[in-house]
Amino acid sequence: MDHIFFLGTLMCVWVMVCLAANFVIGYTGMMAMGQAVYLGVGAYASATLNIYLGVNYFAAMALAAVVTGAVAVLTLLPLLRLSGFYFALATLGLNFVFFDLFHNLGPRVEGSEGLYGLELPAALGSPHAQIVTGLLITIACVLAANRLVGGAFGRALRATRDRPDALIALGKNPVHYQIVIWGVSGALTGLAGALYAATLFYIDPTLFTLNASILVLVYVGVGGLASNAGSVLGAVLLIAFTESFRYLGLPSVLAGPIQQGLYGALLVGLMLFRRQGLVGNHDFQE
Amino acid sequence: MTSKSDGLRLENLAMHFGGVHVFEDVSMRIPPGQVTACIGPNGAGKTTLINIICGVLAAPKGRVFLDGEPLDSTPPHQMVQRGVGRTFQDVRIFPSLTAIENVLIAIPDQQGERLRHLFRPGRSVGAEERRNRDKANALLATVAMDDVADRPAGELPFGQQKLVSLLRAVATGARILLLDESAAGVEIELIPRITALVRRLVAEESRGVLLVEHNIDVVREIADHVVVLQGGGVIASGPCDSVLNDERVIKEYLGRIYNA
Repeated sequence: MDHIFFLGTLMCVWVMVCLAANFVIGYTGMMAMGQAVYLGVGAYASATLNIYLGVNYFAAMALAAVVTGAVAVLTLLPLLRLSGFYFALATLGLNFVFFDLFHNLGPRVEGSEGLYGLELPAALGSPHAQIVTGLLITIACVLAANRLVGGAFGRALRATRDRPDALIALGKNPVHYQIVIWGVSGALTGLAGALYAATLFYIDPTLFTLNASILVLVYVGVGGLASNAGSVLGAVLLIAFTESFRYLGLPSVLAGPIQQGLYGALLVGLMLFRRQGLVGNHDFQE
Repeated sequence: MTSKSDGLRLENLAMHFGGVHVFEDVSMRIPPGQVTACIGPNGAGKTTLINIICGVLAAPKGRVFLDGEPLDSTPPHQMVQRGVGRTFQDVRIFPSLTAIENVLIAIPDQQGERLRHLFRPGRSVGAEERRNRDKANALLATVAMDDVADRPAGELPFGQQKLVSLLRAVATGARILLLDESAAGVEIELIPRITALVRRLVAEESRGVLLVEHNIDVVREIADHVVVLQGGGVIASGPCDSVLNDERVIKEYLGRIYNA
């Protein structure tokens, strides 16, 4: 049962990351390919604050969100002169830069590659406490996300995505919206990173590589662009799909390749026949 | 002499792209409460003129004033706040936004567009959104488009997209509107809606309009003043009737249209 709770909390983490990624990719049209960077910054920030400075873990989570939001904005500023493919490539590059930073500058417990020894409050201290706390945080994030994109602000994001030049002619600055939403997305991903660290008890740089960033793109793409429901569905269904293979009793030599092959085929099929994802609201080809 | 209600004034503007001269020494006024049409052949620099006024292009020579104040150093996204709005020849609608959302987005100073207001307790953001929706709906109704308010703008016929883009500029509240070929490519039955709207904006709201237009019937119907841009400069400028009957204008520009 503990493993199910653990998986549930992991789903909460990835739902939050997907909501954040969808803000910038689906709603605002910024081809972000480095969400794992901010997940890592959030995880390292909260763990460092907790282990080395003794900050209560909930306070550390909040601080990690703030720090990650600020780091996100700082990393975006030099990239703002780029768009489309070039922007995507630059954000992809951030994965390598930050992997090196985590690897070489990130604190680590002696004798290991990573960091462990979090002092967690009771509400995060066990798998069943974590799933409850994780769910509460995730529900709050989904509600906030709906508020964020549901009204005039979300409309401005979608206009930024559709025709930034026309938005300028209406007296609004698309760059302003890009910076604000990138910061919000970074902060939410940082919060998810803090929950991720609490769930795993141990973090190391290999958790925050390009692979993780690509996984986020896949979850968002499958769930659906410009849709909070899509972010939730994509993460939950694909993690459930991946993990379900554990319970099929297949020999591991078969389970791995079958899982990978099905996963890939699902993605190719979806892109061919339903580009906007399961419940998406935007199609970049239209 | 300048005054608060001077409107838009262009003084001795010149423009070239590399070695290609577009125009030299172009001056004109777009006063409030009037329609000033700018006509001329393709390539005469009419859209370039709009881009210079809006700060999208920098003119190497000449200046632009709004009510006597220079507009030169205003960044394009602040032009609306200064009082100058525009449309585009190629529409540039927000295709995935609905027709009403295209109009809504243009309404200035919305609290709901600012993050710090979004999560404040209370209902002010929701109430503001409802007020703005009513306003946008009323605008759509003036051109009989309220029935397509909730359709994605990208799915509307071209003429209706042009009307939406015109309403979008109107919704900014800008005192001076620069309309770049608003009637071009529009179904003939929609054109009276455009001319009626522009007339109303000028007569009832005292807005100043620069109408860049190839459709001479539209110009004849609503322009007070006409400026003809041709061959790198202004070849005629004055009241609509006298310019459209000017021999040189007929010979060098209008003749070509009517004989085509």
